[in-house]
Amino acid sequence: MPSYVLTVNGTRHTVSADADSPLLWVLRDKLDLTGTKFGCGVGACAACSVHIDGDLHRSCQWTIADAAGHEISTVEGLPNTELGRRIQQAWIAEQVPQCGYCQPGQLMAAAALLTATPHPTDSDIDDGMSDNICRCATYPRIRKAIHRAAANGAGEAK
Amino acid sequence: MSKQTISRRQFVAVAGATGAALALGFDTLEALTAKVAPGRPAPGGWTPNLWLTVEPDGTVTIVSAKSEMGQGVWTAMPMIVAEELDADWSTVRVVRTPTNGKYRTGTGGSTSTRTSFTPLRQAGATARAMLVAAAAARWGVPAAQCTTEPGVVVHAASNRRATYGELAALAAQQPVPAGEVPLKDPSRFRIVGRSTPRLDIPDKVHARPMFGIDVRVPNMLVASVARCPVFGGSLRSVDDAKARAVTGVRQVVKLDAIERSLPARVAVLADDTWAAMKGRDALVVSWDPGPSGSYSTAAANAGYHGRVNDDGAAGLTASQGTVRAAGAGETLVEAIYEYPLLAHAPMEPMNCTADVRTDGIEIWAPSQSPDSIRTEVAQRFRVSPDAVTVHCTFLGGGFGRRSQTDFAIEAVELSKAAGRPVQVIWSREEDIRNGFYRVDGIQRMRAVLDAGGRIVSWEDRAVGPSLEAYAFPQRDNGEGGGRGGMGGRHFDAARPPQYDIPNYRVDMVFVPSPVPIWFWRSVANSQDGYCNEAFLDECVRAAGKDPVQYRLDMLGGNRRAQAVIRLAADKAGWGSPLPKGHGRGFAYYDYDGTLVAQVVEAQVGADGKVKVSRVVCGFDCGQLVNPDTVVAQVEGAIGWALSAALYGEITVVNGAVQQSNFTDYKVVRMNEMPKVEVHLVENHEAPTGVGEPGVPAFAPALLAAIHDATGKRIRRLPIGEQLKDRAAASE
Ligand code: FES
Ligand code: FES
Repeated sequence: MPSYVLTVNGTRHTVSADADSPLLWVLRDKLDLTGTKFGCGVGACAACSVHIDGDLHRSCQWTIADAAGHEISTVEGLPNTELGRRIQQAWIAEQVPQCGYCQPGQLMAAAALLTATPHPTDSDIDDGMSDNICRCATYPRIRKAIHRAAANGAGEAK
Repeated sequence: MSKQTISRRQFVAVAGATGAALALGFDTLEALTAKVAPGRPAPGGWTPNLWLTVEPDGTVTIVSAKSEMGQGVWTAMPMIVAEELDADWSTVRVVRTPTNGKYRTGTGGSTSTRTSFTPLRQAGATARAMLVAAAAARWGVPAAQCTTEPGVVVHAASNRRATYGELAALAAQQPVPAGEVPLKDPSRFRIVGRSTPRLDIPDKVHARPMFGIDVRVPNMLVASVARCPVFGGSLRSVDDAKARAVTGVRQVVKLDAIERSLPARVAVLADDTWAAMKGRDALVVSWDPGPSGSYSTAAANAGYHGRVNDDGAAGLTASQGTVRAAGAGETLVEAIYEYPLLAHAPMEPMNCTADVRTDGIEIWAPSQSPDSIRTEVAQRFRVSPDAVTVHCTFLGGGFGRRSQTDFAIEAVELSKAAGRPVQVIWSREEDIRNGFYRVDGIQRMRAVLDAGGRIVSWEDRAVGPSLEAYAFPQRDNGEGGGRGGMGGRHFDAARPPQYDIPNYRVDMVFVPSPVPIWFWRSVANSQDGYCNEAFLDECVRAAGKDPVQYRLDMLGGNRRAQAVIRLAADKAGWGSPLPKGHGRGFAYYDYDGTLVAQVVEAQVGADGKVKVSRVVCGFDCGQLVNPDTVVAQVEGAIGWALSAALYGEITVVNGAVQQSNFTDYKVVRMNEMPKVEVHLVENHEAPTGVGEPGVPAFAPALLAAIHDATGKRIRRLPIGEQLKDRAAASE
């Protein structure tokens, strides 16, 4: 099995895996980062969302071979940034999660949205968040929490 | 070390600390009797249903036996105990209990609060009485002179105070009060009825490992399973050479079908999930479709239509007065409503981890029904129930699917075959194609309106498979039908009208089907709410009346129902003008005592796409426990019902489900979710269900709104493409 160097949440890992292994399963099974969730495996639900070089991607659609050498951040790394903490606080304040299973993907999508658009409108939220499925339909609260996180931003998001 | 065993360790820690703690266990909730448990919880031969401790440091620990799937029960149940205990809420902790027969578990049907409210109150009040007795004994004063403040017993006359923690050890030596202890007057509630942050939310926002799929047991293999796509089929042959060649694949196991539980399967066991999935995809399997190889939902639907006018065929019947044809000056309204099979598709794919050892079977399952898993595993694998322990994880959605036991039985089969722990992870495709489905069927609705527009005769005939007979084989009437009326709950469609109608007859013609069917959020109410209330809107229009006033008039004796209908109508601005092209619809549903009224505002685009802009919901579930959770559940129920109304449909061709994933079993997303306004009725009536009741009224209110906007009647769900050619839709 070939081995790859992955940088996840700032830490370098050397991982042996087949080249076609999806990043999702490498994170969950090889690095024990279980925050990133499996929902569909075909790029349709965004439960597996991570940031790769700062952009939002679905980890079920990236192989380890593609991901190697890039900066990956997962939901476990969210508290490392001021924006991430602000989003998590807003999520708690709005009591967003129900079952909670989709929320790691929602949080990562929200972080990408607020990085690109610190004060999103409702239609920005529709555009930025509609790849993510929530079977519990927590959408109204996700919307409120994003507005809250935006309003709580001191200035520019870091 | 397994992360999910953390809760087990916490539980043991609680048990170990009880020397100086007040530790109380309560027997079955139906006959609540308390016992002080010195040293260990659940001593041999005693099976408490609820467990509660007060530690010397004041920490109150409540063991929860209910499954948390987003409905907030993890927080709501302890709130009820803490209320009567007069606990300081900030000191309350909740821990999970393993299911080993010591506690009764099971979560479904929106029953938790309904059935547990009074027993949980009595449990809290019993502990409080013992703390008060301890303080009275210490101070040498009558207990009746002592009062409590959150976490503190107070003797005002002598200005003495003692915290619950200080009193815990002494309280444990007090006799358990005989008989019922007095409960608070609900007007004095300070925890129950106040929105309280849910205790599981911080862990969910930090993505801590808490779901079944996050369980890690040392030495475990991961299994991925090829499942016979045809209901009732079997394995003809399998070539597993390529699967075995995949790096990390350890074993290939053939498994027979288990009736009413699992199809014929071939499982690939590997070191990790991806290897297992690759191995499964590399199998070359040939299935024998068996007797259902030509079954299709389209043909079944045609069959239902063939039976619906067959007046001699009815299985279950309920009636009042005599139904009749329209007389002179009267109007007959008649329509057939149709509904499809539906999958649950909870966000967390089905999964389960099992470890079969010589000393017993340990299971980690995201389950709504850990007790059923324990009982069925014990039966099927011929071990004593005492040898089976089920650790219930948090559930990434349940919706009824996780009250089944198939996924756990399979994990046990595979751990047994492998001789080591096995975690089975289902793909989304397996979830969609090999599930248990909300039943399909049709209902013929008929009403006779008198000259004044009042309904004087009502008929509802449902045709389709019987959930009752499938789920409870012992209740099969011998012809594949159910017998109805289980404990007042209905599993099969066609319920008596919820309005004051002098003559009615509702019945169901049962048509057996090879498709596995099961409970789906709101069960038969999802069919009945839709058929009854959508059809009622047709009656309203035929009578030339207002949908709100018409319902109010037919609910003359039911003040609570009228109040919730008025609440929704007022908040929605019923009757106020809407933008051009928008429509407004109304529906009301009494869900086992939870009263729900919904106003839906929607428009239909030129492309036939439905856009729901606003939903206003009046909701009366009696005494509220955690109001914000109720609001969240109603929001979620509306999103759930919207997905089903717009898109939800499982079709079967040649015995196999045609849909596969969220690509073709679509659900609503952020950009389709309406603004939802939930208005709760505050009262102190007995609490009723919350998680499911928001579902049934939504579809009919939406269809009424579409009719209001376009003049088109939709009588078949999902709406799908039916409005695409708007001229073709029938009035
Ligand atoms: S699991 Fe990756 S998009 Fe659904
Ligand atoms: S919170 Fe349950 S799927 Fe989103």
